[in-house]
Amino acid sequence: MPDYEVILTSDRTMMSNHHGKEFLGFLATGPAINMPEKVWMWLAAPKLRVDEFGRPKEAPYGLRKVEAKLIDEGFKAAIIDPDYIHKYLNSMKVLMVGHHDFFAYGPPSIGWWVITGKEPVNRLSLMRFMRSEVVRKAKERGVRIIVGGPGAWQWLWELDFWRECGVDLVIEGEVERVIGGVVRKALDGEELPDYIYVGPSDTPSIDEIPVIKGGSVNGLVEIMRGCPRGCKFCSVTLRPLRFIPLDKICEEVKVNLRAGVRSVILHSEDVLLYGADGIRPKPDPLIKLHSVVRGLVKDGNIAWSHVSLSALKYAEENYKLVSNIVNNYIRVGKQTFIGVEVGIETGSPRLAKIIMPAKAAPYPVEAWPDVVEDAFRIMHENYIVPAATLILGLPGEEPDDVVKTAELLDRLKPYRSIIVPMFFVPLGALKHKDWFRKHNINKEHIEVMLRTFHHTVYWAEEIMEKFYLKEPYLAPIRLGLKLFIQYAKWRINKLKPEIEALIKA
Amino acid sequence: MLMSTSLDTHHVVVVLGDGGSTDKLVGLTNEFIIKRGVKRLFVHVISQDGRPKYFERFRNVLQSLIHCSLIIKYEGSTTNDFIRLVKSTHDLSKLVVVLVGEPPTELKDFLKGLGINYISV
Repeated sequence: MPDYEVILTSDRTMMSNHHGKEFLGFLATGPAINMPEKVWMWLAAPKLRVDEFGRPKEAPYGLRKVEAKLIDEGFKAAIIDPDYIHKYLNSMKVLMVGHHDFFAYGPPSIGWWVITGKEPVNRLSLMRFMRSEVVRKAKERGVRIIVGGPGAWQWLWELDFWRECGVDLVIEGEVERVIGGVVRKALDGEELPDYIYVGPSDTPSIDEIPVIKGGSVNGLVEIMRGCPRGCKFCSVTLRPLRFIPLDKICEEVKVNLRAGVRSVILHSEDVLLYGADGIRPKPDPLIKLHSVVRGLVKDGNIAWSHVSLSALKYAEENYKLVSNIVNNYIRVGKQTFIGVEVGIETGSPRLAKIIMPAKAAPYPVEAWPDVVEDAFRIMHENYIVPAATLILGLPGEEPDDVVKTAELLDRLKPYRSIIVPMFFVPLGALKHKDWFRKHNINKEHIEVMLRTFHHTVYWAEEIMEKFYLKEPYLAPIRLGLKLFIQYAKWRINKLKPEIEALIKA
Repeated sequence: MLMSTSLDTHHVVVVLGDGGSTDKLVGLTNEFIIKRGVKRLFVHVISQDGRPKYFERFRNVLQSLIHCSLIIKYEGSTTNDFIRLVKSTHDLSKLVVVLVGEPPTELKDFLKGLGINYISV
C-alpha cells in the first residue's frame, strides 16, 4: 500500500467520466427530476475504474495538474477515488478537495436550482462527501484540509459549512507556482492563511505548468490558457494568454493513451484561437495540431471544449479552415461529428457592446446576431454539434435585449444544437455585481427559456440517436434521457396556461 | 513566492470592529492597489466574529479585487492579538492599518503610542 501523505480527490460528480460522454456531466448540475437521485447520479456520474489502491484511470484535469506539480516537487501525492480515501487514513497528512462548482452557485447549476427549487446533485454529493465519516476521521487525526479549483470562491458563501468541515484553506486560481509552498507549510504544521487567490502576477509560465502524470477525464488536455476577448462576465479572460507547445500537448495525449483513454478533448476557451494572431485564427497551427493529435489517437474521438462563434465564422470564410479540419482530421474512421460548447450569451448588439465588445471581433459587435447565425449554419453543415449558452440577467440588461435574444433563437431553429439558458453569476470583472434571482425573472425571460426548451427538445432526439449517444452500450442512457425529455415536455404542457398568463401579465 | 514575506507583498491589517461598513474599504483598497502597483496583498484580519465567519463582512472587498494576488489570514479577536501581530512586523513604517467601525479604545491608544497612522472607515 503506498503511503501517500497528500491525497487529492473530489466528490462523485467530478470523479466520473460520465459514461465517456463529457456533456452528460452537465446532468450533475441539475437536481434529480422525476427519478430517484441514485438513478440520476448513475446517468450523470457513474463510478470511475480504479486500480487496487483506489487510483482512478481518469481524473479531473485540474486535479491532475496539481498532482503532477506536487509529485514533481517531491511530495508523496496522488489522486484517490473518494470511495478509497479510507485506505490512507494512516498516511494522509493533507487532503485536497478540488471542484469547479462546490455548492452549485455556478452556471448552469444555479439556474436549474432557481427554476426547480431543488438543490442540484453536484451540491448534494459534495456536501455528503465533506460530511462523510472518512473526512470527519481525517480531521480528527489532524489532517489539513485544503479546497480549491475554479469554484473555490463559493466557500465564501458557505461559512457555516466551512467551519463545520474544518477546512483549513480555500485556494483559487492557477496554483502551479504556489501550491508546493502551501503544501509544505501544511505538512510542517505551520499556520495556513484562510484564503488565497492567485492573481495574474502569480500565474505560471508555460515552463512552470507540468505535464499530467495520469489519465484525465475523457482525455481532456489543455492547448492554451487565457482568452484575449475580455468579456466582462468571464473569469478566464483575466488570465494572461499562453499557448501550450505542441510537444507538451502530445505528451499529455500519450499519457492518456497509456492510461487507456482513447479520446481527446482539446481544451481551450476558444480552440480556434490556438496559435492565433490576436483574435484571428491562423490555419497552420490549427492544422498541425489536429494532424498530430489525429496521428496519435487514430480511431479515437477528438472533441473541442469551446470555440467562439466569431472565430469559427472567420476561420471558415477566410480559409475554409473549419471544413478542412473536420473533413480531414475529425470525421475520419469511426468519428462522424464533433461536439463543442459555444457562447451566444445575448442576441442584443446593444448589450453585447457593453458586456462583451470583442466577442464578435473581428466582426463589428453590431453584427453579432448575424455572426451567431452564420456560425450555426457552418456548424450544422460540418457536423459540429454545439451546446450553446445564453446568459439571462446580465447587468445592464433591459427587456428589449431579451426580446432580441428571443428573436435570434427563432433564427437558429434550423440548426442542430442544444441551447441552454443560464442565470447571471457574478464572475470575472463583474464579480462585485448582484446575482440574477427568481424575483428578477420577467415575461421576456420566460419567453427565452421556453424557446430554448422547445429548440433543445426538438433537436435532442436526433442528436442522441444519430450522433452523441448512438453506441449500442449507451441504450439505457438514451432511454433514461428520452423518458426525461418526455416528462419535461409533459410538464411544460401542463404548465402552459400558467406560463401564458405570466407572459401576458 | 506568494506566501513569503517578500518585498513584493504588501501587508495590511484590517480590524473589524463594532458597526461600520466595509463598502468604503472596497474603494480604498482598489485605490491603494492601483497607486502602489500592488501585485500581492496579504490581509491580516482581527475580528470578534471568528474564523471563518469574518468573511461575511469582508467578502464584498474580495469580490472587487481581481487584479492582484490575495492572502487573507485570521489573526485573532482581541487587542492583545493585534498587539502581538504589530510587534511581529519588521518594518512598522510600511504597516497599513485599517479600522472598520469602532475598535476597542486601547487598540487605538496602542497605535497612537507607536506613532502608527491608521485609516478609519
